[in-house]
Parts: sequence; C-alpha cells; structure tokens
Amino acid sequence: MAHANFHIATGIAVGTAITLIPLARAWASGRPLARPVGRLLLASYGLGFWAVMPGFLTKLGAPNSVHDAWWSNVFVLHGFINAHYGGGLLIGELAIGAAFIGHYLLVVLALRRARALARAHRGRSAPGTM
Amino acid sequence: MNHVMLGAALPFLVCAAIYLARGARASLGLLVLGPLAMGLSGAWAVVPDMPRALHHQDLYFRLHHYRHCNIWWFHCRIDAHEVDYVWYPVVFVLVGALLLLVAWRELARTERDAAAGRVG
Repeated sequence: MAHANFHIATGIAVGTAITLIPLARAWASGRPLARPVGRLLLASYGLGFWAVMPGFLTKLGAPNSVHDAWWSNVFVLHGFINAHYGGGLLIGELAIGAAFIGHYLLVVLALRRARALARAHRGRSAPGTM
Repeated sequence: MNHVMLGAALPFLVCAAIYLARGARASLGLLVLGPLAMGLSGAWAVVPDMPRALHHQDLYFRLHHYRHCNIWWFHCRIDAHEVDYVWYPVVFVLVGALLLLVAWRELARTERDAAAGRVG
C-alpha cells in the first residue's frame, strides 16, 4: 500500500497537468494569468486532498478494504496505486515540496510578467511618449 | 516538524508585519525574500538533525551534545521539552497555503489594476 504522501503527490501532479496547458496558452497570448493560475492551484491541491479521501473514510470508521476497492480509483487511482506500489513517504514528501516551490515560483513569475506588461502599457498610453 | 516551524516563525512574523504595514500589499522582493528567509531559517533550525539523514550518526550525536547546540534556534532545548501536537503539520500546511494565497492575490490585484488603468 502506498503512503498518503504518495497519493497526495499524485493528485497534485494530475491537477497540475490538466490545468497547465490553458495556463501556458494564456501566458503565450499575453492574457491575464490570475484565473488560470488560480485554477491550477485549486485543481492541484484539491485533487491532492481528494486523493487521500479513502484515508479520511477509514478514519471515520469505514473498513480498510476501502483502500483497495475498485471504486476507490475515483480518488485519483487510489486503488490502482495501492495495488502496484508500496511506500512513498519520502518520495511523496519531496514531490509535494517540489510542487509547492514550483507553484510558488510560477505565481511570482506571473506577477513579474503582469507588472512588466502594466509598465509597458503605461509607457505606450502616457501622453508625449511617442 | 516543530524545529522547522519555529525556525521559520521569526521571518514569517517580520514579513507579516511588513505586509500589514503596507496595507496588505507585497512587493516582488518581499514575496521572494520572505519565503527564502523562512526556508533558510527553518533549515538552520534542523542543522543538527541533517547528519542523520545522511547516515552520519557520529556527527549527529556530536552536534546534539555540542555545548552551543542552541545556536540552531534552541534546537537542543526544544528536543529536551518536545511535545508532538497534531496541529504542527496543520499549521505548516496553513502557512504554505497562506504564502500561495498572498502571492496569488497580489497577481490578481496587479492585473485588475492594470486593466482599470492603474499601475502600482
């Protein structure tokens, strides 16, 4: 059975992957990034939390078989991962930490870009600058 | 966990004070240097534990019996009186979420101000 950290890391990775392309498109076309970045953060950490729901269910009194039930795959392939992978405490912890740092840097870079675009826009629209 | 949290607490409080004093706005410098200082200060707090992760047990024991062991943010004093509370990891996660939220809010406000023709 995989460690909860591994499940959380998987959820974060899936959430990041499915929201990264719309973010990249918005970035490339010069559109605002707050919404796509917000969606990426919500999807990533929301799916990270969703991936360990079976753990919460067993804490609430559900049997341990929840972790291996076929329907637990709805929690970001929870059952499949448990059947094929054991452990993952350290690698999961490192992956969560790396994802957090990556997401934070992404927001900071998006902010840097937004400020540069705002300054460029102000430079173009200021009277007497042409 | 609590060594890292306590080590990161002072830079976190300083950053929070600066952030609030500036009317809940953060410069890029604060958003970069704040978490960096928190990370470095948190890492400094666990220097005596690092040899264990690298399988250097001798150095690990030597550092924990070093006369000035408390220079690493009172590491040995905390070890002597350490109690593991369930809310340590909860606070750890909340601080991480707060950092992301503050940075994202700054991005959203910058883009909204730019769209409205106000440039900060």
